[in-house]
Amino acid sequence: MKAINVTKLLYTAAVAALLPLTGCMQDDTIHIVDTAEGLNATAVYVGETNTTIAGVKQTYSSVFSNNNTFRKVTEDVIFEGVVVANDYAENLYQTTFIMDGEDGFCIPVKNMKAFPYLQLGQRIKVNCKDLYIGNYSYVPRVGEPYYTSAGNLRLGPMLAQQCATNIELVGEPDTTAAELTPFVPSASWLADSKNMTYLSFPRLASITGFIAEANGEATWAPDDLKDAGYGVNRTLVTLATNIIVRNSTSSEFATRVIPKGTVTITGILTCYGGEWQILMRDENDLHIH
Amino acid sequence: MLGSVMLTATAQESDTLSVAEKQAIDEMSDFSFTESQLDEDADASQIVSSISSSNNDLFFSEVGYRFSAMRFKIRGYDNFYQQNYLNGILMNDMVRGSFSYAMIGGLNDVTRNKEGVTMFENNNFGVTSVGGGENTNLRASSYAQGGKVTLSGCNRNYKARAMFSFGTGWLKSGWAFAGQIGYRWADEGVVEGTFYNSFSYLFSAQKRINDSHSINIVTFGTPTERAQQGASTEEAYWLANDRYYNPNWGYQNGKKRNARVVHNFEPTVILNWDWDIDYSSKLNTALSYRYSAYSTSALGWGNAAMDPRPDYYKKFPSSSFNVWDENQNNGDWLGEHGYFLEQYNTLVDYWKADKANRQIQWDNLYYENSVANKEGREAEYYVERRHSNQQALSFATDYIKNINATNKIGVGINASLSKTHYYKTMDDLLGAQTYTDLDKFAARDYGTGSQMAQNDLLHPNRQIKEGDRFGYDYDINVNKATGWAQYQWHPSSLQVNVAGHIDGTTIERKGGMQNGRAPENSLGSSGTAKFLGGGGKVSLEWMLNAHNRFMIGAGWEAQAPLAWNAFVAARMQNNFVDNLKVQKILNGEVSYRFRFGDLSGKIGGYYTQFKDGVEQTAFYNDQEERFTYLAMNSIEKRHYGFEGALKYKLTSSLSFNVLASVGEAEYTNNPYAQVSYEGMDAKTIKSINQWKNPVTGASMPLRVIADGIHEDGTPLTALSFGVEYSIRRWFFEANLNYYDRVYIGYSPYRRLSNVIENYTSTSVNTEGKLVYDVTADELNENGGVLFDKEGNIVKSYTADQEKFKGGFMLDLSVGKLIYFKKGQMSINLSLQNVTNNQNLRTGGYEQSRDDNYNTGQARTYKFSRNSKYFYAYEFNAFLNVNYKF
Repeated sequence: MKAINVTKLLYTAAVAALLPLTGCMQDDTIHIVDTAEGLNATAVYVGETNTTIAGVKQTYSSVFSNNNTFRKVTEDVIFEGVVVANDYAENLYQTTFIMDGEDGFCIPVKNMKAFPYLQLGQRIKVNCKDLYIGNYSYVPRVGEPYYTSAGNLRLGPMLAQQCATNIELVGEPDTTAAELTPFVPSASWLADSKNMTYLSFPRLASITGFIAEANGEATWAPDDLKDAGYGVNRTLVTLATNIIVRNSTSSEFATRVIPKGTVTITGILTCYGGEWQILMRDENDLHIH
Repeated sequence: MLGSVMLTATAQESDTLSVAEKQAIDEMSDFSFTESQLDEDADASQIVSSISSSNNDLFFSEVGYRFSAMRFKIRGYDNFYQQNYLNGILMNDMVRGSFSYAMIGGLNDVTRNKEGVTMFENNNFGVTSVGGGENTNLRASSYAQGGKVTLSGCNRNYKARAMFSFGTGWLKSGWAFAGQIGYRWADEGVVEGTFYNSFSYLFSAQKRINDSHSINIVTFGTPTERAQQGASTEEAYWLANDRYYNPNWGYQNGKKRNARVVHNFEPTVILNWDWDIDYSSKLNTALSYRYSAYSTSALGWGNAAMDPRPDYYKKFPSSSFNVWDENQNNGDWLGEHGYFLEQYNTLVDYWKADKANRQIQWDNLYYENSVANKEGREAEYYVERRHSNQQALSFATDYIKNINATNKIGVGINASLSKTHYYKTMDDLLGAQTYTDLDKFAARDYGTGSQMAQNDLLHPNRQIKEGDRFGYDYDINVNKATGWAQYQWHPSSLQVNVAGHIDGTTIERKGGMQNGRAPENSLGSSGTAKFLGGGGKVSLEWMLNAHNRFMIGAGWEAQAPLAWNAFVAARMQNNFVDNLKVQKILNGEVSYRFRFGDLSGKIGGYYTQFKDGVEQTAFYNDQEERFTYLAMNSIEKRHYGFEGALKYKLTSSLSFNVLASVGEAEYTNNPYAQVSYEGMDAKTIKSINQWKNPVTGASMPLRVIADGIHEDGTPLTALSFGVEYSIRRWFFEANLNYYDRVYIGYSPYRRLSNVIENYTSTSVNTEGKLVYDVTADELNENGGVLFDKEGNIVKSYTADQEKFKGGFMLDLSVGKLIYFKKGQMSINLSLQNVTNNQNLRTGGYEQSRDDNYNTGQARTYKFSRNSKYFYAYEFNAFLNVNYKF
């Protein structure tokens, strides 16, 4: 039996044991990112503002007048607005609305969650160059064409990468911005068909009435009632007219029971198929009287 | 053969050239098996199986090592058909059936002493299944006296390895000790964004009580932390200009962070009592306990969040424009729809502009969570950790008796109890402060306030902090007992082996949460399913003379289903899969081994038939936007093929060899299917598990149209030509390997009988044959089920399964053995894929999603044309230096 050099064995074992055991390889330090700066979700600078939302609606009136038409913008068309609605509660899918005074515009973006970057009260500049201006069901918007799941060619959201080059944040979100105060249309205003034009919407508005479907059990957007757009329409009955309350089955309040009685609904007012339509931003847009 | 030769040579301090050669090869083959090939990437679909290292077979002793780069599965068998024993105890995982090579990863120098056998070879540890088996001897006295230091460097999963092993041999006190410690490390492996951090240890002590009795205790483990590679689509590889693009990582504060990090530690202790009853018989008894702690992390996100994976299909250029569609990619169409090409180019530019653009954007996830915090919302994104911790207590005793020179018997029993705990924890809230334990899919469909949304009705709306359990929490208990016996009759020119076994298996699920989608059948026991298995085999080997041997063998067995496949949606409920029964395996094999002068070899063929198999897949179903389980039962498969090995020694130092494995492994029926969606109630699940007859409207059992699907992730054709040359303790080896017929992992979901197109005959032609409104090419490509006008199924076609292009790979190695006055040094350099062939796909899988919207409208993105792939490693090297003293 060969003798073992114990000292040598121990020495070698010690060397091996002192190999660089680095422990956990991932960085476990607390990481905080509380600013969007440097995240490249939006542009640093898109150019100087050279028009307004009202100006764009005037310049491109032809593509807003004909349903679901659009046109490519080949030059700098830069306007500003304040974010009044976003995809916070998933009722507005990939969609952000801005307003400049009383004039509103839709800024849809896909493949990104917009609300952390385009927060309510945030003033933004939009450069429409190389994007498409047009409308989706008469609602003015800037984005990119796409085919819907029903096979229709529509003006859809811009790419997230285009948000990073064509949209600039101006200052910090201001929750006291005047644009965040909803417009309260009168019965006569709603009844006047002349207001059913892209010049009047989209617009943040508050309307009072009651929901026709409210029976103590009905919810805002049950899956079994969804249409091809994954939405469920409810009817807000007002003194002037009936207004569609459009709800996504993906919204956070889709399964909430519709309250009976008088309610005030705040949301983005648009016109669809010759009828007024309102889209709540989140459940806080519902006020029960 | 290599392992046993190595040990013998070392023990004898033999100084022959052949020993030096084999030693050098052995150093590398170990690497190939345990690091590059085995289940290091199991959950990345790169699992390999059935490494049978028969000590006596020219084909089996070479094939695993030679074809390891392509993750070759011998005969296409899954790895749970091979039994792996350590010190006589069966160590295959009790739930998933396979052996975890990670359990002994990095313990290369102390796990070489193996007895490997094919299915029909007699052995001393048990009756093996079709994949054969091996028993590794970890007894302290089996190690050569002395120490060994090994240092390695490579550019594979890890960069550096250091090992120290020692053996005392029998000391005068009657004790023997042996052990190894080692460490493997890479700050970044060959695949970007991966890292490797693994310590390994083994200590074995043996006491000789007297001439007949000895006891041994061995404990080992390999605590490991490693980051994983993920498969991606060809489009992603093209955009990244990298066949090894890894979507699992991204920059966080400028540093790389991987979302898929595995923690693995399986400390094991085995106690052996060896009793040499007399010169011809012995009794080996073993008791083991193993605690396997395995977990892997993964990104999670809420309903309101965007899918954060960088290779999510909507982020690809091809989601905007399908450049492969000739109807669109032409001047006329693009003249009217140029904006789609513009979007495509915008995304191409984005992907290519910056590496960070095509990886996980951790900082954005943190920021979005910080905004959620301010808004009083829950975590939009988080990292969860999925645990599977198994405790296994096993007992085995074997009695081997050489009755006389021609008769040998062996009998034994194995018994194992196991409990595997599955649950997940919140690993990192990514800066968020709150998370409620709700099922996001059910919350979306039924509301956050619904019972359905609750993952645990016992703790509704539980607030989850980092480290807390959530989602699911259950045990799978599997107990198994086996009795076996084998007999060998070995007169001068004949060898007959007969073996049989009988098994009893119980399977039970015990839920620790009362799931809101299955409130009646999720908490507590599922009840116990009991299976009686067993089988027998017989082989006859006729030795015409010392150099010509013919073997024929046949076997049949019934195996209990794997517990892993036994439950429908085990994360949610207790229900067993329908028609759960033992799988029957029929196997036959013939072979001829020969030596004519300097030419030796083996040729053989095999045929294996599987019946009543059960398989289960679980995947995120983009179509339904929820996690989906798909269980198949009554599966029938057949594996058959040819194997051959030749070796020709031109001179004492120069030899040539050829290896060939050409086989088929395929489904031979359309199994029954059960689909279950996470977050969906039982009534809805029942409704989607129906297949309506297109003629009668009658409900038929759901099936997967899988007849003709090939076993995936392994070359079904593997050929090799090798040259070995040695001179003055130098050795050189070159192997040119050819691989072909590697198939992609198919999606059963896309081949469900209610997903695949059903056709009804429109008329009968003049020849009396039924006419259908579909072409044969369309059927062969997309699949379909043909019905006659009475609603009878005439024929079914599975959708085409992609076959990868074959190709060559050249491997070289050079080694040198140096003797000193005290000790010896071995230096080996192995170069794999010398020609840097980056076109060889080792595997991949189809995406489980339809090319059409639910409306029937075609999507722009074609999932059927965008499977995910793994590629064989590019040119890589492994340098190994060891010193024995």
